[in-house]
Amino acid sequence: MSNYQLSLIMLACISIITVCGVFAITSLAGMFSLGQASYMAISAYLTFCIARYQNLPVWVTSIIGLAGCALVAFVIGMPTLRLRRDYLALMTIGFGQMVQSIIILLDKYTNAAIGFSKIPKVNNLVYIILAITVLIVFMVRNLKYSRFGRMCIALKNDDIAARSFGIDVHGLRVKIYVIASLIAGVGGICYGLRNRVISPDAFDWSLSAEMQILLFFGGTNSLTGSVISAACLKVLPEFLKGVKLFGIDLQNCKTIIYCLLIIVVINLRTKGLLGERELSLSFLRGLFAGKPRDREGGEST
Amino acid sequence: MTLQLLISGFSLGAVYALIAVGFAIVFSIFKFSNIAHGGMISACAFIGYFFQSSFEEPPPFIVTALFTTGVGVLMALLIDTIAYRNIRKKQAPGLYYFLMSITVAILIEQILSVFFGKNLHTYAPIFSSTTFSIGGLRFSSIDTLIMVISLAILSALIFVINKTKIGLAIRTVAISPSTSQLMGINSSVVIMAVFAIAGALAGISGVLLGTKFSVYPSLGPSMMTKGFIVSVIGGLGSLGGAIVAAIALGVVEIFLTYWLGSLSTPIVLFGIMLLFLTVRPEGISGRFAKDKV
Amino acid sequence: MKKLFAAFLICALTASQLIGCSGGGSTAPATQAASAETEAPAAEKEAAEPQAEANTDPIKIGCIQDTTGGASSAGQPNQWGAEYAVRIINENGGINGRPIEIYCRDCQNDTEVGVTVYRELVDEVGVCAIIGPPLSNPASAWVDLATEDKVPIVGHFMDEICTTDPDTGEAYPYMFLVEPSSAVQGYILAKYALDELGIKSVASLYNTSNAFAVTQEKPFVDYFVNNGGEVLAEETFGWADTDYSAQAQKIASLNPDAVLLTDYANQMVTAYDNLRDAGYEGYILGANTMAAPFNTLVKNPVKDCYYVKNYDFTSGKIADLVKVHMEETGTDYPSGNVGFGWDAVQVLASAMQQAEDPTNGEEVRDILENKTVDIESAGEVNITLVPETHRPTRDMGMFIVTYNEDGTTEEVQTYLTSDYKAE
Repeated sequence: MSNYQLSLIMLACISIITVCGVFAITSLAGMFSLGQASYMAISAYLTFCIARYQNLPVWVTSIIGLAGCALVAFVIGMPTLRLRRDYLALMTIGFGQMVQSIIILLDKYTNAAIGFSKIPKVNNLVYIILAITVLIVFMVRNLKYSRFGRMCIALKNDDIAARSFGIDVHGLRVKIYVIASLIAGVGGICYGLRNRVISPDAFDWSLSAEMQILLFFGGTNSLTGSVISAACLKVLPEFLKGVKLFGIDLQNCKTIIYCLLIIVVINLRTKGLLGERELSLSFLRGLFAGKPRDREGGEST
Repeated sequence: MTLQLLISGFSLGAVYALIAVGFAIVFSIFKFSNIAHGGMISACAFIGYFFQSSFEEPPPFIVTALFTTGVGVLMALLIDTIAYRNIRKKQAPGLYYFLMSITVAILIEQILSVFFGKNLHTYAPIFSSTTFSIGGLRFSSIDTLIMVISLAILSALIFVINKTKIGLAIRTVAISPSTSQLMGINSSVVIMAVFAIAGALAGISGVLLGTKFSVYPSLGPSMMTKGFIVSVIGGLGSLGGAIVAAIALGVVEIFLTYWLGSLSTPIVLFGIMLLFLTVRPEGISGRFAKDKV
Repeated sequence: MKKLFAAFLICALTASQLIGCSGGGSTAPATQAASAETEAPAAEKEAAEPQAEANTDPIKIGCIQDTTGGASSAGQPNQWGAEYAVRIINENGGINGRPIEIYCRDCQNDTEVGVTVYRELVDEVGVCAIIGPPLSNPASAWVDLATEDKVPIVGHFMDEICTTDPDTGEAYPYMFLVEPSSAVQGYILAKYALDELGIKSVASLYNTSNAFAVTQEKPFVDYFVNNGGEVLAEETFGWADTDYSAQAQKIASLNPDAVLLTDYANQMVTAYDNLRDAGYEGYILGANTMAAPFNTLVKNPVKDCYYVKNYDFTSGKIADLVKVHMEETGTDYPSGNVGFGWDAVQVLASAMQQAEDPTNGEEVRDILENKTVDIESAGEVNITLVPETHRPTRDMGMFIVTYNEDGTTEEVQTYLTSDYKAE
């Protein structure tokens, strides 16, 4: 297997990890955040800057990076999540711009817009990233079916009703926000390890928006759907390289094709490819037997 | 100096207001921020430019503006058909509209930069001088024009919405599309009317922004975060609130940038927004609407 | 239909997973270990494959440019220039009888995409050298990769951190720059301002989110301060800012002798208009993005503008290049970027011509490092790479250009950077 294919696998894995973070916050708790990319930036910069300036191995500093990421998420989440749910998207965009500004202000350490490129090489990175991805998908799956996940879904559907059942709504929101930020943080570290350069404008709000689009493309409440769409859509442009249609280089149109595909799918299947369903063996069996089972999780919007 | 900065703040606020009105009108019905508005502004700026440069002698500004307004209306209806109609039929939550509008915005920007991005363009100037001064203070001509036009559009819209039949219909549909349908209002016509108004606004904005700056693919989209902030703080699809928020944001930004520099501004701005929304969660206008993204 | 589509996607994913598992199990650890420790097998493979066949085989080179991202107005002409150079070389018999095949990829000015297309070109297409983009973000990601894969990268990533290690000052073995670095461009402009325009104080207005802008502003300011000038203010803006009138008013109230603007053309236009609107009357110094169409885009009259420029469009090869480029692509104004693409291919081709095996990355690298002497650039100056820095010697000149009142440009002075030291 060539390094190219390995790098594509890593690309898909990073996309899966970040979309899992969005899944936790949007599909489980019903909060719409456009700040996930900022948490990628925070953990990546913390991890690699400390690794460089304190000469520590990356796995040690990545713990520091993730801890820092969780702390920031907690501090930001406490006041923001008290606001009406509608304001979260706004505040996360503002937060993203703030994080970018801070990275540029600290240019002595972060090298600002030029990009921080002293990221140590990690051997057998693809296995590490694959393992992390599997672990995270598994964790998020468990989260969905756990008591905690069901509480989140209750909160998503009706927070007043959830409160009346004795659920600490605000505490729960902060918890899931921190968890989602941590997952994004892991994605950010993997991003840095793969690309070996991080720059503030790579972690724009448009990256967060792209994650949301990937999630909704795969299926609003379907983890498997989101994972599949995250991997497939991210790798899709690779198949357009060097292809020419009517004299137009399709490579240049990859984003256009990507957008059109999303528009078509959302038009035809508003709830995303898999909608509410999870892909599982029993579901597949049902599909091929001609009578799809309704859903196995039992949760819905 | 402070007075001069205040004028700059109002000028910048006028630009934001122009975008925010287009945002707010769509918001009032659908409860989502139409990010695709930015793409439409860019596209209209390009189309207006090509229209203008197809003549030997550039036509008067008003002709170009009217032409792009018409184009904007058609484009808005087209976008409504390809992107929003199906979602609406399925009564999907506002989130879907929001994601769809982001996708459309990226799509338009990419089409422009791949097929028309080779050259940078600009409109023929409207004024012979870029600034004029009154009592020692300098005013930017184009910004003043933008301000006047935003206020004119705003008053016209407020008149339409509060005093006319279609305005009444828009207000009812904003409250509940299905109930108003029961009351004999053709919701889909109202919805199309709202998109047409937004498209017309995008057309005018495209020409004005293209005249103020230059014509390039990210012209509209680069201002969308600002438009988004304004439309949310302004409060829930209220036109007046959006204008007030736009001017406030412009003034605050100019002063913060002057005192602290452009890098510290987003940090302070985040704090101000957090504080403001904590103290006054209903936004500037004070009206509540649900499901705002 | 929908079900079918979903099923199809599922199949595709499963298939890719299967391939992933089977391949990953056996071969991947070997290549990983190889590239990490010995680095030799990869090179042998590269060298051996093409050599085994006849000598008229095409030589594959890659070209990575930003053609759809934020810098596409620079990336598209760059790519055209590289493709055109390859076309001409092939018409004249190629490299020792072997034609060049160029594979162009778009990196969208994005590091992640940049790494992916680099891997594709090196591993799938099997290119033996790459023409790089004018931007430093994607390029600095390839520094280590190129060393591991032994693929020379020749480009215009003006930022010095792409060619030399900022910690040690040593050159990265496989990265080569073929135009004056951004630092040199900053020094030239500062020198000109001090000596010829007699400027004592400056302010700068630049985009802190854009590496292109930052890497020219800093050296300018350093040089200016070290040579007795005074910097009154360093004002900044970012991508999300659309209006710089607060910064402009601050600068206007300080009233420096000159203001330095660095960013892409759109922002330069807004910054210039904001400054003039704020009542600033002094000199405006700019990066090479101040070239046309800047003068047609600004609303205020263009006066007292001085900027650095790589080529004189009226003579030499570049005059031809910009003419053909404008004809073929329908661009309205000459773009110096076509010359960058052209120059990079010329330097690479000359090294390949001297090599016994032009596809051997190591050999080509050695020649690029040591024997790149007096290659004629599109602007009819000579490119000689310094082995210690992998950047051109400082007598690769730059022009200082100003606009006349009627909007035409005038080359004021050709500056040879060899005359100046950083301190």
